[in-house]
Amino acid sequence: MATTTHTDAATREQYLQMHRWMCMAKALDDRMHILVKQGRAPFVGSSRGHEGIQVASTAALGADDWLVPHYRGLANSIVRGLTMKEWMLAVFAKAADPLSAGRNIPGGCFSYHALKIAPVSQVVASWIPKASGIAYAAKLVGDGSVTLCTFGDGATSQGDFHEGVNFAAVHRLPVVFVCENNSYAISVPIRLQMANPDVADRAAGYGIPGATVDGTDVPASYAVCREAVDRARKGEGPTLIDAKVWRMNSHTSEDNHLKYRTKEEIADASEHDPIMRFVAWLVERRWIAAEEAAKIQDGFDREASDAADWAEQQPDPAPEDALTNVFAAGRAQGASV
Amino acid sequence: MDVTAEVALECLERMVVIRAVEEGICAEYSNRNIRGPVHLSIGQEAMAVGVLNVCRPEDVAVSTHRDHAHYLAKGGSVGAMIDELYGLESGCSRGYGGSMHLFSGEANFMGASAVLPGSTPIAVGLGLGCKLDGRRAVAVGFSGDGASDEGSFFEALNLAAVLKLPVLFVCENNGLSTNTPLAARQAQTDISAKARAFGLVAANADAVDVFAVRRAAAEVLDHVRSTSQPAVLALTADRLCAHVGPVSTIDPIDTGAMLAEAANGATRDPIASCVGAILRDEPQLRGECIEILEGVPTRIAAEFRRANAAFEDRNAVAGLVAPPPPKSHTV
Ligand SMILES: Cc1ncc(C[n+]2csc(CCOP(=O)(O)OP(=O)(O)O)c2C)c(N)n1
Ligand SMILES: Cc1ncc(C[n+]2csc(CCOP(=O)(O)OP(=O)(O)O)c2C)c(N)n1
Ligand SMILES: [Mg+2]
Ligand SMILES: [Mg+2]
Repeated sequence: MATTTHTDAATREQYLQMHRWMCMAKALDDRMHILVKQGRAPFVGSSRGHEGIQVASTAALGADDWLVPHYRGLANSIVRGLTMKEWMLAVFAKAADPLSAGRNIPGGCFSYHALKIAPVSQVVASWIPKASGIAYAAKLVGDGSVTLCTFGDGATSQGDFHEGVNFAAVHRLPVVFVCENNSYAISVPIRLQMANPDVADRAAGYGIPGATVDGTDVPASYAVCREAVDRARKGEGPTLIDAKVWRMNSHTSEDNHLKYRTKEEIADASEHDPIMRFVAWLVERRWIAAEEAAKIQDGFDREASDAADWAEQQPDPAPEDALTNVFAAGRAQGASV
Repeated sequence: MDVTAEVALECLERMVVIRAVEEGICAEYSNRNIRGPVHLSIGQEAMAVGVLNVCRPEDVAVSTHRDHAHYLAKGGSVGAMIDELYGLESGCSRGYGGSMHLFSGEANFMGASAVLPGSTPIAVGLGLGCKLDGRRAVAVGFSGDGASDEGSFFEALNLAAVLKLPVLFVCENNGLSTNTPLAARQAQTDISAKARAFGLVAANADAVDVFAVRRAAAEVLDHVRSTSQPAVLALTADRLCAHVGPVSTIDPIDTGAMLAEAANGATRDPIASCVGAILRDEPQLRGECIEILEGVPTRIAAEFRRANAAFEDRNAVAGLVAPPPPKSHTV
């Protein structure tokens, strides 16, 4: 398995923390699949395969920076501080769900003001101009914050992608665009999505730097993202990063990838598990023992299971509250507009 | 010049037709028989003429709010366009469209959309039509530089590249979207650089020189036609008129002044530049050039008189429309 030479961007402690975050995301992801199979949870949009770039990009942010993630951004949100219990409240659409109080698609929308995770819609790419808007505000206010915006390869075919990136480029906004390129938009393979599969090449057209990185390589991804965040913070404008990843599962639990991917291809994707790769890298450096890594994963798996059992017992949103926080104040009760 | 005398004069005449029609609009507009916004192409005529001169009749074209030059260069009828401006039934869109909605089925000019970047996605659909039909025709989509601020411009480029469609995207860069300069809207102002990232072939040309446009267009069209792959042609020239409204920033065609301007190597007027190139390489064509510069505006002025009379007759007969206010009336 390929490893990397970038060891200098983060410390051993930081890398070990990244490993724990990835294990947390995997534990939640695996548990959600079980819950869906058991008929207890309605839906899962899996981030398996994406954890490397998600953890690396978000770990490059500071506490006052903003995250504008796509619906697959579970590991990003964990790095920001989302707890397992909180996530399970969202999965079960409970009243205490901190993401949307049970209003949004369970387990597909991240929106957490205290953690500086911006609310996004599931309309593909619609959040990219919003990320530029947040970065524009940061520039106007001068608060020094950087915005990380993540999206898939399919999102780059939407006009919103171009308008968002172009606006950030011309105003030199502090934003980092990360394309988590898993080479599928649901069932549409990348060869039917774009003639040139290297999204970073488009950066030249916007007059900004672009970088391609293996998104399953945590140290390499962290180094690239760190540099982009630093550039943004120095006022040097946005960067477009194309992180190649392998989607290990179906698009969501509503999809069956065996209908459009061969068994061999799916087996190959599982060979590109970023967690396996990162653990091998840490073990090779003797920064962790293989048994220790396995124990960490086991611990989080149990915690995820407990969090699910706990969250399931929490109160549902009250029917009479259905419209609370859905419409702007003054409009909910049919106030004249 | 790398063209025959015949082609050179054809290009000159087409540009003078466009200029004369638009000068006619400027002259007639204040009579208020022509209504609605008009976007003139004065200064940009070589873009439409250079590209469409090397297109085949079966190629289809689609345009923007600034569509006069494209319609006329594609071979749309002058009389039907002027009738359209007057809202006459005999207009090319039966009088319902006006300046921004010219159309000619016979000339394969498939209309225009004023919603930016309207023509660009439409060109993709037209290109798909050409490909499915098995015609060896190319779809030509004209747009301004402002169109490339819009997301659907890139959606169109991407889709044409993925589906391998015979589309030529012509981006007419006059450096302005209304009054906002390109550099205030985009960090990278070379539109062809954006196109290359999608795997499209892209070329640039200075569109003051109609023959340079023609040369560049011939090359990219050849590529599009032979490979059925899209390309972008980015053209630059100045808009020598207001963004909208019947206002030219240069004087109407005057043969003496035009011949003098033709000797100015730094001219920004594509007609003067074209006359200059012809007189330099083929001085014996001086008489033909003068004939075009004098004859075309005279013929076009007659078309305006005819259409104006038809408009007034119609209103007089129908009695449906209030008579226009007196000419001195200010609004
Ligand atoms: C505008 C829009 N069109 C279609 C959809 C349906 N949809 C949801 S996810 C998705 C695929 C997006 O692919 P990509 O951006 O590559 O992200 P990935 O899911 O692969 O991470 C589509 C088409 C949508 N949500 N929004
Ligand atoms: C979607 C949309 N937004 C705004 C407008 C208003 N508008 C009309 S023309 C124009 C400028 C277009 O600039 P460009 O594409 O460079 O063409 P040019 O006018 O320079 O030929 C604008 C903004 C529009 N027609 N459509
Ligand atoms: Mg994808
Ligand atoms: Mg323009």
